Amino acid sequence: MARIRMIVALCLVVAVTQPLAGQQHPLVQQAEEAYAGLDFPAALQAALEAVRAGLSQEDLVRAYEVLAFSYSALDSNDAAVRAFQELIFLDPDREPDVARVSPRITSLYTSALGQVLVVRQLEVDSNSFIGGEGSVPIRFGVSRPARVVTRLLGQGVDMVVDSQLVAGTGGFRWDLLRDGVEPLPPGRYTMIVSAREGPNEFARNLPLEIRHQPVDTVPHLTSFPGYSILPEEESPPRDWRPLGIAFLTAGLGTGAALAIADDGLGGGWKTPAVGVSITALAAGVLTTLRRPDPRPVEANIRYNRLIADQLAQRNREIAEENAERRRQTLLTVVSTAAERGGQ
Amino acid sequence: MTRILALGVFVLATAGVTHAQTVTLAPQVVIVNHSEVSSDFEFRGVGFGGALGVQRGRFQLDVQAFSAKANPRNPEVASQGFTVKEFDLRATYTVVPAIGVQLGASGRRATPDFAAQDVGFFRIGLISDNRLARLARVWVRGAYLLAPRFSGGGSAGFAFEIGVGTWIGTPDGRWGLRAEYDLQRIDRTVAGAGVPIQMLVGKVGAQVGF
Repeated sequence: MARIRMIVALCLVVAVTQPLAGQQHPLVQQAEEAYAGLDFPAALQAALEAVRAGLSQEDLVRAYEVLAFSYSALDSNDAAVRAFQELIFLDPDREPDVARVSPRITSLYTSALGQVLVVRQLEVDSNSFIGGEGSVPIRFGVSRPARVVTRLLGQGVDMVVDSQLVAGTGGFRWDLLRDGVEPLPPGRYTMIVSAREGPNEFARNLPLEIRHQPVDTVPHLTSFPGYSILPEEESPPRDWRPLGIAFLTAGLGTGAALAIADDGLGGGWKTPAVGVSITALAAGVLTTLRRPDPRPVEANIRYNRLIADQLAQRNREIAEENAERRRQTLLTVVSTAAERGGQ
Repeated sequence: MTRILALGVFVLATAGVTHAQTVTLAPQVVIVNHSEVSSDFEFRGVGFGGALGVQRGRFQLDVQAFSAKANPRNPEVASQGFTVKEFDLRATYTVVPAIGVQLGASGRRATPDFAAQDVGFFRIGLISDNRLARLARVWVRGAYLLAPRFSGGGSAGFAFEIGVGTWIGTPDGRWGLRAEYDLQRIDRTVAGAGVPIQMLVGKVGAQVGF
């Protein structure tokens, strides 16, 4: 039981003494409160103590910011510029908020920025494209005119991606290919953007991840949208022509037979003639009342054949396109985080 | 009759080696009405016959034959009946759809001799043969009878025949029923005296197509 109490007490001590993640250091907090209260000497004192205390990078950035602002408020321009330079080296992308700080401070920050060489606003957009058919934009800025060399490290690769002279902002498009042909292997990489101006050099790292995926193939078509297959046979409307023909034939035959029959020989035996005529009429009625046989529609047949030919041709093209796509790789590049390098 | 059968066998035999042709065979029951000189000499009877047809393209050849026993309708005038055998040959060429020209010949023999006139003639005429859908056919034909010959001599001025018929069967034409009717009128004269002949033939039977 005593052992459990001891463990609980130890946990409480550790919890109290260790600052929580994201919690501001007391000295930095004290310096910011003093600066907010316009007590610039006290803010300066607390910030200097904080800088010497060995803080995290985030606290150090805030401490140098209070330091630079306080020096500016106390008209110590040179000290303010030096503090701003330290701040810029620590976080090149951090700038004073022009809406909150005085133009004097902004001016001193700009002066400090012009005296150091840093790579700023290093950005890469996450992008996906087929290897060899696309690229990803890399953007950056330099505080002074410099030669900027971009290297890529990782997965057994160490290659210079780009080299150019940059004043202000620069950038290039990266095709993620090795030797301009082969896609880079998948995995994690580090892109190092180095700016060099005489003896000054500054480099920033950008962790990247390159992923490979097979390129989606195109499904084969079974029909064209909006172009449906037409029926190749249609049932014609009821046709009374067979009955008419039967009637005419029977009437003509029987009438002619009765007409040429010799009355002197008995006028002809009418029963067979009438019987055959009735049979012919029955055939006409039967064929007329029967549902007509479907008949082919030539125009529809030609249309369907045309559609089928077009489908076959398009599917051949799709098959060739898919064969090509199966040889391709979909490359995806993702920026995992921006990290600061060193001078 | 033997010659008719031989011709039929020949047509059937050659049908197997020719192409794109239709052969039809139709056994038939036949009823006849034969009148000569006047209505007092009217004979009626029943018999059997057959028809064989071969069609190839626009050409059609039909051979028909029958044999029937005819008895007098008025036994007081004519007490003796006779057996009549007739052979008909018709060759048709379809000029335009459903209309064809028909040439042919016919021979009729009565047994015993002189019980009725034996008659032979050629014919030339037209036929209108119409197919009704695929289930039936109807036809009507008329022909002028050329150069009639009689066993009792004499000649004929007006000699004509009219026929009408129908066929009802399966769409493929293989099986069907066939009924037809023919009337012949021959105005025969002997030594300037009129001795007309009239023959009516009704036929009904099945028809098989190959």
